[in-house]
Amino acid sequence: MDISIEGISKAFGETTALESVDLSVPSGRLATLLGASGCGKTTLLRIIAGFETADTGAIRFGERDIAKVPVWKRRIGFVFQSYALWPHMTVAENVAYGLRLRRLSKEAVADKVATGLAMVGLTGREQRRPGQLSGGQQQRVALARALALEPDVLLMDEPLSNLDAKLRVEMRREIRRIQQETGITAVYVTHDQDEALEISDLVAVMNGGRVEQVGAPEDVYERPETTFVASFVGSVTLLRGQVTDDGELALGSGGKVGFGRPLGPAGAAVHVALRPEDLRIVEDGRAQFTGKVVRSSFQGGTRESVAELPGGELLAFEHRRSLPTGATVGLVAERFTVVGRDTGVA
Amino acid sequence: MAASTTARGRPGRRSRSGWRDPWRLAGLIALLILLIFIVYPQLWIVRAAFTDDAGAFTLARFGAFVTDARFTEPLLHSVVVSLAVGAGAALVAVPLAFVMARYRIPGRQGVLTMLTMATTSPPFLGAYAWLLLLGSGGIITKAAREAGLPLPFESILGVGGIIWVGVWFTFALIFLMVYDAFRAVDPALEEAAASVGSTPWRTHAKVTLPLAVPAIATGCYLAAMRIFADFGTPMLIGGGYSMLPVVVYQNFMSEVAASPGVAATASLMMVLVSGLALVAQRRIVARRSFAVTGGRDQPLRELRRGPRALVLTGIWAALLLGFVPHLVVVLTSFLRWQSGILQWEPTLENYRRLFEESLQPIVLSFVFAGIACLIALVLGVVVAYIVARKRFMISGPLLNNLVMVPYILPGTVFAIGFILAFNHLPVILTGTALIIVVAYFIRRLPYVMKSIETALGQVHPSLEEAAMSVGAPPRRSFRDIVVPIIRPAVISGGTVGFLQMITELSATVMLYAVPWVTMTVVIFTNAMQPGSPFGVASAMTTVLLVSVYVPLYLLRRRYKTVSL
Ligand SMILES: Nc1ncnc2c1ncn2[C@@H]1O[C@H](COP(=O)(O)OP(=O)(O)OP(=O)(O)O)[C@@H](O)[C@H]1O
Ligand SMILES: [Mg+2]
Repeated sequence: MDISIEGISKAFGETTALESVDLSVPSGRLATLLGASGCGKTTLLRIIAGFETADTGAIRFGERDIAKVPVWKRRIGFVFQSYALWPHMTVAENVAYGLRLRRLSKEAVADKVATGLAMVGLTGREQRRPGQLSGGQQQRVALARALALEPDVLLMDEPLSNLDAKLRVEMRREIRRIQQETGITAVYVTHDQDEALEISDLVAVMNGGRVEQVGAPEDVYERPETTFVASFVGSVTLLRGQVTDDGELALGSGGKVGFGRPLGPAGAAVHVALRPEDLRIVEDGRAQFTGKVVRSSFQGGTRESVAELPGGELLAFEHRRSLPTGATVGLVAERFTVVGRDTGVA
Repeated sequence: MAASTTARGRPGRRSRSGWRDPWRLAGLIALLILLIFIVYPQLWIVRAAFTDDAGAFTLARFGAFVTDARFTEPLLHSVVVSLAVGAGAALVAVPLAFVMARYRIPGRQGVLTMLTMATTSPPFLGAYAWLLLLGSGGIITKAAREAGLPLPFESILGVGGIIWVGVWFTFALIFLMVYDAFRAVDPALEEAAASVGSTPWRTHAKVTLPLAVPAIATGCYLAAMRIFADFGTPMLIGGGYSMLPVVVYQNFMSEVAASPGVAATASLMMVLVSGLALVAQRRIVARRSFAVTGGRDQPLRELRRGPRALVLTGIWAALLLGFVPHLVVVLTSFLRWQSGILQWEPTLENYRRLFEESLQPIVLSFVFAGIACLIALVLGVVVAYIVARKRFMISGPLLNNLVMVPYILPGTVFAIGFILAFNHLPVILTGTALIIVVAYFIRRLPYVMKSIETALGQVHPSLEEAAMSVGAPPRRSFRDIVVPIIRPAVISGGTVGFLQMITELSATVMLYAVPWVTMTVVIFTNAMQPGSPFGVASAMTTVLLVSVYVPLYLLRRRYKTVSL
């Protein structure tokens, strides 16, 4: 079932949490809402779930406007950041609760509970209480509970944020696998860009209550439309300047850089986003940028260093061999993105 | 992307629940109940205080209250006795709590259990039992006289007696609060002080004690207020030393010189004093509440032999004095009494007579307290849920504040309000059994409601949302999720409320009408009349003690700790 969100706004007293948000998630896809703390991700998800009402705008599941449908009739599954398992029920009872409300037969309930727990790898823990499970196990129970009713839509609010780094990676793959197996439409909230890039079909980057860009993970990473998106997703250097008459970039500090093709109409104020991995060290005179290495850090497979350009701009680039600080390097950009809209940096 | 904003015209402030939310109706009903039974009677007290005997408006009563010794004296007496009891009880409780919190004491669990028991003992029990022992015809006084031993006092009657009884009646309350505070002090704080060269005693004086000040202040406040509002103790052993509750009672109930106006004015004075005391306590606690709950528990240290013997003696002496009343009552209930004089002969006669002649008060006490307890629980859940969860603009804050008002209303004052308000239309309750039930449940509502509110604070709203997300309507999720989780708090709040209702005297003694007589009233009237069947009264008190301690014991066994 596809979800379409149109013009959703929401204010809490003086704070504007969401401003005219549009988003549509095709059936069977997983969309992530990605953004910094306080940007309105949770609020949007809770409005989709029906825990909050939007001030304006409409949400449709398929063709149906669900404004008037209360939470308990929306056929959603929700995974809370804190899991929200019921402490007075066993694992099996947690999963079975919604099924019992549907008045399914005892056997059908037992059957579905067993299938659900098997899917998240918790067979054999049915009679435990939530308090007796590890964080990761609790998270799986929450997932099984949300999926047990075969909902139309699965909503997850930072479901992995209470887990350690290794488990987080493992669990997000697990979630993706289950989402694809069940073919459910899902919305996933996170502030972790790696998570978003790895598991989504669609990433919606949010900033200050607005959705700045929606696209496939590759699009959002490689073709950011705003400075915020460029800086939030992955590490980046943003060079700010004006397009000269011959299509080059005039930096604020006075320097001029050519990128081999015109950057846009002359006089336009633009940002050029450069990913560290898109810069290459060159020895000869083809260098676009020449700068002094100010710091260098070893990161396992590669090194990331920062060069200071004559105008004072700092440029991060990746390379293999070690470089002494103070050395002069010449760099060329093998790829770059021109970002038209300035929405600040993360 | 100027998307179609179909619903732009919709009012933005529509609350999620809307007017059809059943909690709104429940809240309004609760509010109505509180207005009728809390606000309305208080208005009648205020009215009576400002009306002279001819029915005209007057300020004269308040003038008299600050100038006329008939009033200034009891006011002063009440304040002095309350302060003395608070201080005395703290002197006993704080050192004991400190050693218990820090050192390995044999029988710790037993001591703690007994102290918890002591805090729920019936308020007039001490006065009654000490009167049996040290009254002018008391067991010890008489024995001493016969043996020719001189006693430093004639009898326990008088201000000294009230303070003595008050201290042993309240010290356990302070102890439990301060004990928890001492246990909660993070050892790291003390180690830090020691590491900069502070000696142990200096550390305790500069670090540990200040951290416990909020608990000490709260404990003293509770102790002082218990004795301030207590009617039974000064009435039984005051011996002419006038205190406010007695003045109120006598001015209101006296058949010859009743003056409701004077009683009402004195009532307002009491409310004023207890309100001020609450403000003072809040200020002390607010100014110094720092988080002391560290990661580690306080380790229990060993005591050397000498100090240990001393500490043990202290603890058991205090416990003994705290439980003298219980022992006396139970013991004398199995002895024969003849025209008010104790014969040292074991007998079951008292119990036979009790069950033949006075079964009804026992049953009534249970019925009244039981019904009142159930109503308090239902209303407590409603109010607590609305206060904790719903963002109702008007009824939310109103309920939250109104429900706490009975907290500062002494039983005597409460009763007067009820009588003034409900002895005429539109609501007539005086003379019925209902008035006692209503008084009980309203008086205990603040305590019951607070314990449920605390428990609800631990039920994260997402637990209910999770239930809704799997298809449970709000009513269903409340029943299936919230209720089971708060059940322990409801049960323990209810039990403690029940215990306090079944031992209630100060309001009951003014509100009851024959035949609606409770156990406490029977005991009290017996104790007030020399030569009355003390044996039966003792037997009834023993029954009362059993009805208090058996539920308390079950509760403690089931839930480990009980907060009062
Ligand atoms: N119930 C509420 N009452 C008042 N303000 C709220 C409420 N819920 C959210 N807000 C405000 O709305 C804004 C968006 O909050 P939201 O919880 O949606 O952020 P978020 O993106 O989920 O952040 P995080 O990553 O920290 O969870 C914040 O400024 C927050 O303070
Ligand atoms: Mg959030």
